[in-house]
Amino acid sequence: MRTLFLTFLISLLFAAANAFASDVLVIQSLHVKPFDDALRGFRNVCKSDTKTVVIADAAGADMVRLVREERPRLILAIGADALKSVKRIRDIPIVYMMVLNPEKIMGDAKNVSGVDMNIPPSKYLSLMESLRLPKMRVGILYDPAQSGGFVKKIQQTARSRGIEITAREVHNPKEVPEILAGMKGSFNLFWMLPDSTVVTPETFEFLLLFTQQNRTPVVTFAGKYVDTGALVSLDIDGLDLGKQAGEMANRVLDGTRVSDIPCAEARKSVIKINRKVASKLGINLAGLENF
Amino acid sequence: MTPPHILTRLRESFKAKLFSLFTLVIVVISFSFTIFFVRHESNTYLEQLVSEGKLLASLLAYNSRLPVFAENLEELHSAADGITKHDNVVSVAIYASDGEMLTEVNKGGAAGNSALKNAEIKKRIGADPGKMISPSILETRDDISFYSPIISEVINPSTESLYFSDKPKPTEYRTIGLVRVVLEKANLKRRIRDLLLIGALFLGFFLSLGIVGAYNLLKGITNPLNRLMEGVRNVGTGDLSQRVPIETADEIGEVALAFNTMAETLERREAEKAQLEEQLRLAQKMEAKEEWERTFDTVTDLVAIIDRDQRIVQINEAIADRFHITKEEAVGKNCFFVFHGKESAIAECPYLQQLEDGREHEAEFYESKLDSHFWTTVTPLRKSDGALMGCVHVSRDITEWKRAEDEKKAIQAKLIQTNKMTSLGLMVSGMAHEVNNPNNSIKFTAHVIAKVWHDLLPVLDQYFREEGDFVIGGQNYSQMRESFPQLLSGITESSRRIEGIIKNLREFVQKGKADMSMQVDINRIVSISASILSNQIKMHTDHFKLDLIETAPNVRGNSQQLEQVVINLIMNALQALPDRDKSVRVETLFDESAGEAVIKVSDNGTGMPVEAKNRLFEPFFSTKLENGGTGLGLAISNVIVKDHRGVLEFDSEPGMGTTAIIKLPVE
Repeated sequence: MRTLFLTFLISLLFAAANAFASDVLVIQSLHVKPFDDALRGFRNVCKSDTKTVVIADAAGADMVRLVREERPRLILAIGADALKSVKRIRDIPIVYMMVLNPEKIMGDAKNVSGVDMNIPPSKYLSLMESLRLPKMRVGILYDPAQSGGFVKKIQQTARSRGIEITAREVHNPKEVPEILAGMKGSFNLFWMLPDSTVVTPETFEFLLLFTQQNRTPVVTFAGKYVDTGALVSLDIDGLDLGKQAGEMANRVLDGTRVSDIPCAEARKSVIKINRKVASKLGINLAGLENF
Repeated sequence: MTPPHILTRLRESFKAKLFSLFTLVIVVISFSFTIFFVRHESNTYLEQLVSEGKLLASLLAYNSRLPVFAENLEELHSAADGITKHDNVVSVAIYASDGEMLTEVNKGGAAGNSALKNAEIKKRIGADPGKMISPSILETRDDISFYSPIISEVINPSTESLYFSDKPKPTEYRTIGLVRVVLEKANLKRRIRDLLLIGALFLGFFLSLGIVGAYNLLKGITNPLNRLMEGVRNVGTGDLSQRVPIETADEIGEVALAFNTMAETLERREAEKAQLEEQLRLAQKMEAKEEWERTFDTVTDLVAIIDRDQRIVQINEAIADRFHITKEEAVGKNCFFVFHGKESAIAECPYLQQLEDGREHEAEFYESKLDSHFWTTVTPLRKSDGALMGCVHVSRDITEWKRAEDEKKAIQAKLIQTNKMTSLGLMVSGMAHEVNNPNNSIKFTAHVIAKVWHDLLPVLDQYFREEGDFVIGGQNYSQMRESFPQLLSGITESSRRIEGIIKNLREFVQKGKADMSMQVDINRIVSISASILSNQIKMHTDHFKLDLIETAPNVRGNSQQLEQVVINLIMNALQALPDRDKSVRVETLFDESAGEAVIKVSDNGTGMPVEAKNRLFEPFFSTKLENGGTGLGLAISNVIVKDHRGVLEFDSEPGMGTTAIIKLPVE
């Protein structure tokens, strides 16, 4: 009933706004700071009219219908849920951001482009190298269903740089402790990937305990893990990501076919270091200064 | 003192009451405190046990998350074993989310009360994880079981959320297992036993301490109180000079101070009261005295209080008025001096008699100083022991009463007189008739004899000349010839006198019949009377004098009757003269101011004694009965003068003569 009412309300809203249809319809998964930062960055760059719908706020609303009624020139999807809600739209160009694995959602759709959340493996590897660990061996746990592609990229990049990577597949979070215990001694740096099979509250805790017991630094993808015991994170910059997507949108709005614009990786990253952990592990951060 | 008495005394003793109260309070407080202490301590211990159990269960649950998550039984056993090492823990068990027991460790090999059914475990696992976050407790008599769920966060389907630091919501938890920690209560029981023992020891100690302290404290309180009571009791019995020592500066000290102040005030008040009462008594006395004096002065009788020495102690206003003396002047003076003007007590003083016999006495006085008669009563005045201290001297002026009494007596006498007169009148009327006839006969016979004598005389003369002298009737004719006419004249005169007396008697009896309407000249009356009595006057005196006013006023009346009066008076005056050298003087006067014509008949004869003077007008009273007085003259004269509305008065002193005065109203 509530859903029906909201749908009706939104329909009414957009029916009324039809005459002044916006250029960009922003569909945001939920209100979180990185998403808001990204949208702010987008707006900094793309000055077209925007209309924002947050899915978490308009729970159950039919976004496809909304888009049909709104008829924007461009859809900006922020977050995986947002992108999923418009994956059936093929006639309006979609620019996404803050989505980890967009290809899994959109498949080979031509009207989609955007900025990936993943930071290129080379950046990570450069960061790891700057830690100057003697005989650096990198351990990775991953769910092939989630991060298989990214791990391949890592392995390729590492191979080219001569860095030893020990990657083990995990299909269930419960396997993590056992597999990790089995990997003991095969790596001296753990690379934590944004893989929800590997990273659960329990596994993260276990992981941290394990790495601490083995005096193994953890390189992770989000600052929040640095706060709780990881050594360093290489995080995306939401604002810049938004700007990157904004530039992409501008090109689309200026007439460039979206299919001609390739998906891009985040061009800027933010490093966060836990110096206490570093001093405990006896890691020299001098190399990191120049990174 | 027998035990019941001691008990009664104790029951009534303030100290005992206070002591009982204190002891009761101490006992109650001690018991309450002990109970509170034991309860509090055991509760605290229980709480500690519970928190320890909760903590252990939570800790174990938390630590078991990964092993349960990873189903690492070895790790779980090690964790459970670690918990079992804690003192009170007797049993630890960890269950999987399907209720399967993953591990169990029992201290000392005891199975513990761990037989919680699978269903129960499942129920607890199946409960809302949100509500299960804190451990649930199952308490039995011997132990407490703590169940803590092993909570895991729900894996977020959104991979992006791995990036976000926002915390997941509680609904995103799930229970993956259950931890059970059983803690035994043996220590708690032991602890409670110890606590009770300590409590009892403390109770006994504080109770003794409290009771001893309370006793000393009460002694300190009640001793000054007792002394205060003693003081109050003494004041109560009237000893207002009682003071209580102020020993403390507390309320009792203040009470003692207040009591002392009160006692002082009371003492002062008492003194003031006594003074006031004295003043009041004096005032009352004064008032009573004044009232008494007012009463004393109100009495119209002459009242005096006289002491044994006949000195005046007090007189009332009546005495002061009558004797023209102030009260103050009278005090201390002798009564006989003040009342009678004498230097010593008068002989008839009733107080002298009272001083002799101590009884009340009465006497009648005539006090010439006041020209009044008094009836005096002297009543003895005695002290409370009966000794005579003086008298109350009350004199009543009975002058008026006496006058009235005299008048009454006069009226009575007059009545008697009138009766007498009436009888006399009747007798006189009869007698006059009886006397008159023979008298007429005598008179007629004398007249006839005179005629006979007259006719005989030439014959007898003839014979004398012829024959010489001869004896007739025992006398010589020559003598007889001379004396016979006189004899005859004597008969005639006596007869005439009888006739006169009869006539007078008749007039006296039948007075009022006379004509009273004549205009009478008093000078003429006096002249006629004198001429009628010329013979008698010649016979009695050589000094008879008429002293008439020139023009005498007329009075209305009967001239004959008035003549009779004047004749009577002149006759009396003449008869009072002892010899011829004494004089009689008749004068007429006119007292214009009184409107009275006055006839005065004065002599310097023998005068009258008082006795005679008082009875002058009494009929048949006469000093001259032997000389032929009838005793009717003045009685008749008085009646006649009164008939003429006049007054007949006498002024007489024995040896000095008498003056009779007739006062007649002038027309």
